[in-house]
Amino acid sequence: MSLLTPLALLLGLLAAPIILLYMLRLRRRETPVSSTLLWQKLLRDREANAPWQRLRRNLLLLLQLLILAALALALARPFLPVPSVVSGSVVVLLDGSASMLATDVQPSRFDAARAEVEGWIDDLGGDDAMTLILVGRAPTVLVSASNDPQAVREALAQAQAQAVSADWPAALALAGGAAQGFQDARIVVVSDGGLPGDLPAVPGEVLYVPIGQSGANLALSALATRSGVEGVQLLAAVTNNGAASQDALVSIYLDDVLFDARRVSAPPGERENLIWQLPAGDSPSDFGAIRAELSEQNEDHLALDDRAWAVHEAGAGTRALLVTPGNVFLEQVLGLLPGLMTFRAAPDAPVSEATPVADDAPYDLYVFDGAPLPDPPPPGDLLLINPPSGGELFSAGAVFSDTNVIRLADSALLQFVEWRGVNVRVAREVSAPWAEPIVQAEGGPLLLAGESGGRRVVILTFDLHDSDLPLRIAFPVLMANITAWLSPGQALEFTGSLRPGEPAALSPGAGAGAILVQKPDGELWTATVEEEQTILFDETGRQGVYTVTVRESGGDRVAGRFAVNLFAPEESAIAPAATLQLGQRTVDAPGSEATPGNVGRREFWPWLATLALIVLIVEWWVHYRGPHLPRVSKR
Amino acid sequence: MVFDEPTLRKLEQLTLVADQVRVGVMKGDRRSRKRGSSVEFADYRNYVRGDDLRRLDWNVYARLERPFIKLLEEEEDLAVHLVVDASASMDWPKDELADPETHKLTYALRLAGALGHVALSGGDRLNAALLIARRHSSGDGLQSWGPVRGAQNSMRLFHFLEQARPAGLTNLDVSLRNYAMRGGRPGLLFLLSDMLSAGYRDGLSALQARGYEFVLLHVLSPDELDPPLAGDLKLVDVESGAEAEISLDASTLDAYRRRLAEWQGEIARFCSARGAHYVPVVTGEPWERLVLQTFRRRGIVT
Repeated sequence: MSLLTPLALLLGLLAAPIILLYMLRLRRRETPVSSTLLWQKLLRDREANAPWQRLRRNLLLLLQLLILAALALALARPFLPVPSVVSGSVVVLLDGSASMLATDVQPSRFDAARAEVEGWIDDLGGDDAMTLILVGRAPTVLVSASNDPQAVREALAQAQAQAVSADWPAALALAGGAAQGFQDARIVVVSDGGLPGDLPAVPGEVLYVPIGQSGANLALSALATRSGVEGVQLLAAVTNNGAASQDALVSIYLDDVLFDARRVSAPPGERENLIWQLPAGDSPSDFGAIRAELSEQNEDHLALDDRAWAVHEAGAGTRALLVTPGNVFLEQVLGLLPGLMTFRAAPDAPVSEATPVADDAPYDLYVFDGAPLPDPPPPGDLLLINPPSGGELFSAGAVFSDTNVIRLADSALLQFVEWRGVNVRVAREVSAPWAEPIVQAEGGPLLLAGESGGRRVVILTFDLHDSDLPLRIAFPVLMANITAWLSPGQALEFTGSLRPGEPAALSPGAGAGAILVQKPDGELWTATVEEEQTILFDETGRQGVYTVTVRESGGDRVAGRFAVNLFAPEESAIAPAATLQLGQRTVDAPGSEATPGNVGRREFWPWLATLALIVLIVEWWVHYRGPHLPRVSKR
Repeated sequence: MVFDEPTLRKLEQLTLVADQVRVGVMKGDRRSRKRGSSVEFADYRNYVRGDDLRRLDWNVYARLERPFIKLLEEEEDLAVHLVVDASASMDWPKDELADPETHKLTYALRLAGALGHVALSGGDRLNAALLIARRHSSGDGLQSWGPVRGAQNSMRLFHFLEQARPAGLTNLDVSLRNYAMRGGRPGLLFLLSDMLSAGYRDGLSALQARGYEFVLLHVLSPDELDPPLAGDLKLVDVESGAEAEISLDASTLDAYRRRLAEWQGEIARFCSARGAHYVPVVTGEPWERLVLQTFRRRGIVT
């Protein structure tokens, strides 16, 4: 036993005044009695057991001294050295990833880890400090270098594991930062060991406290669709992470209707692939959400990866019709732009004939290169290059050649476009009252953009062959900007599925007032769109299918769906690891004496304070209650 | 000292009983074991020279021709002595809060008055004495009154008892020996005392040796039986001024009570060994009940 504040023992000197007061108090009250005859006899009798008598007489004094001793000792904060993980400065990395939700340890691995940390809080000595980091998708510092057990306990109680993959490199970097500045800093990793193998080394001592017992887990490790020649194929993969062979039933639901169920048998450590041929619907949107479920496993400790969702991608994005007598530059650049499916038509062919799909699915974007605009213009956004004649939309005039640029508008179309070096031989005078000149030359605008009649129109007033624009870097950038501006297309800028917690980038496009995301549990997330911007939706903690709706002036439009799945092999492999590999260092789980010198300090001053209180009560009882009644005769 | 009329009437019906018959100077109305001149026949005995011929039973002599003296029971008066301890320790309890009825000296004097009235109305010869502090070393420590006879002297007795004041330190041994030495007619002696004195055996033995038959009325107040004390005290003897430092708690008080009972038993054994009555008297008990019931039951009065 040692003391944290030995100076407090000086309070024991208070015993001197107590004894002094007691001696003063012992000047007995004089009480007359009729005769002391009997009392004298009594005193003679009592001489026999005088020491005990003296002790009894001083019982109150002894009790008071005991109280003082207990209080002084409590203030001196004695502690017992106990074997403990925590001593000095400790940075606890608490794994909050999906695998910690496994239930091979009741109630869950995370609760077991929390209980483990909770036990250390009691060992937190006076000079110790605990930093608690929850390692989730992004590591979170729950409490920083705290010595207050209550604060640590509260922070710990709020920690929750989530169905995410843990970002261990970031967490270790954070822990290393937190440990810096402390001499005896120690990093304790409380995890089931699903750590990547290429972690960097961290300074200081590292302890590893493994959580978990079993690795039995059957996981749906992949679910995806593929449009093939025969139709849509669904691919599912079942991985057995356990050490024993497992049988399970894989059920496929299309829009919550059971489509098929197959029994799969997976040897340990193996991945079984399953392929379904999905029925070809009239429209791809016939089955938006595909759900796969694993059931009837022998032993499965992680329920998170027993379900998976997929969204069948409908179509390939924006369809564009290029009407041109022949323009290599344009065809090349439009063909390269992602998300754009370009069809080419001759200028004299009717627009409708070039339509590859049914009439009721028109093109999203029409590009007229040197071709006259049909009347009426097709329903869709327009990119007009060197329009030969005007129409109801605009008026085209004479050709001008003084094409020195005098003004560039601040527009999204010119983002990252270096226009300065572009030379244009001749351009045509075009005037449109609804359009804003983006590039203004001396003779007239070279590039106009605007909205008319509910469609977006961009006009390049010169023939690409009459300029060196196609030879410049600016050209593909400009075309990308133009097509992006013209057809906002889908709100989603990604394909496939997300992992939980991964943000989804949503581009609602022009004209959208708000964007709504319906989560799998039905909750609606809404963001107002100020101007054309990419919005990050990061509330993807829950697995399932998310529906993105764009609210436009005309009404709501379902812009797409995406699925969030835990397709994380490192999380599905829940077998607890025996060691951690940090840089060149291998950290073992604490075995018999793998971690010597871990001595914590368990303070026990509350017990001393309690003892003082109990003795105080006893003293009060002895003094006032005692076995006899306190009736003292008055003089 | 006031006794109401009904109480006096009741007292007058009582008679003091002495186990051993005392020599009476005057003829009393008390049966005596001494054979005397009354008309009650007691026994015959052989004539010896010098006997009063008037007491020869001539009828028996005529029949048997041998002289027999007819013994008649003599009726005699009894010498009754009331000795009240008036030491300072009898002036207890002093506490104003305590019941004045439990004051030991007052109680003892009242008891003495009652017994004196019984004696006087029974035609006995009464001596009364207070044991007081000796004024000097040769003082006898006594304040005496009497002897008187006749019920008409009751009031005088009461007056004598009323003027008694508790004072100083008494020594039972010295005072009782002095009382025995005074040479009065021995008889039935009532000693009313708390016995809180250094010694009592010598005094009582001296009385007995002089032929006194004594009744010890041991007067103690309730707070002496069960002291209402607690804590660390310095006890001061109101009589001697002696001090005793003691820490009182429940066990000490228990020990005190045990010691007290032992002490009373000791006195009681001393008395019974000498054929004397020992009556423990607690001043909390009504004195009438004591006289009319307890004394009667103990055979002190009939």
